[in-house]
Amino acid sequence: MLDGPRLRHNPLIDQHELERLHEQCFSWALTCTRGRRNEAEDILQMSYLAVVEGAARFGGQSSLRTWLFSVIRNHARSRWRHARRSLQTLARIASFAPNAAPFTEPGVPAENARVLDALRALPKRQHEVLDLVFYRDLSIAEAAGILGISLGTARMHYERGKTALRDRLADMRSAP
Amino acid sequence: MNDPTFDRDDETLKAAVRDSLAARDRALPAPRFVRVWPGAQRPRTHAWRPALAGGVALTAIVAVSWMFLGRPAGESAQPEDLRAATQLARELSSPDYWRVPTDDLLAFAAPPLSAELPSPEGFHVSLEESLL
Repeated sequence: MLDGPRLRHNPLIDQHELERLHEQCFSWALTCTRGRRNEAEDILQMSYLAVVEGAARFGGQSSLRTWLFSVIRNHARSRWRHARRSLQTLARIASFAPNAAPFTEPGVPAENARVLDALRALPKRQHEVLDLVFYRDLSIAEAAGILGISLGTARMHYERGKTALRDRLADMRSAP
Repeated sequence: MNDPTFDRDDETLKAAVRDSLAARDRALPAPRFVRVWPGAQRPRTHAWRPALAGGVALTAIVAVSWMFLGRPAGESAQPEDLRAATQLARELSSPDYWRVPTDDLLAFAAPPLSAELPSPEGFHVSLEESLL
């Protein structure tokens, strides 16, 4: 329902609706940045700017939520690519292999932290598909739309992601 | 460890993922919308910039116009008079001073002095003082 001010360059978007989706958008940005809060905020801000300035246009073919998720994901991906290139250059210069430091969210119970670690250890696409389908109750087709991949590919990532996550959690459970 | 959560059931796996991501979102709450939203505040925040640029450009145009076009005629003529006076002074101080045409001397008008000279009305010297 449109009941708030429309955006000038995106007339199909109601600002109040965006505001209502804000927490979900931030949560998705957190997933796209693998839990890095500052990066998630930056990406969300860049995404909102693209929406306000009309660089990203909402055509109304999908729901506003899935469209916003795809905008956020695209910004995260381009930023991640840029960061990866910089890191590879730095690694070449300094002759060391890039190695992501283990990351834990403060205040998360140990059992949940274990699942989050296992999720982060999955390939990026598997992680994202499981997040969208399990946590945000989207269909695999909607997840495919957000990630810009075919339904078959999304289904494959979903199945492989589930298997890999189960295996990792089982490994963690059996580890001392 | 008794941990029935991670078996082969999709629903159980889904519940574990949901709980964990919800815990993450509670631990890392979203910033306030207005802090991230660039919408309404941005144009107002930067609205003074075009006005400032316009003001600076206008001032520069006025200054340049005044320098080249708007200067009063008397001010622009002053260097010309000074040049004539210098030329005349040089000719008069030469050994051939008598060659300077009289018409030139009569036509010469010295530029007005810009310095303030003391007025004689301000001096009251007594006769005794003048004799000393």
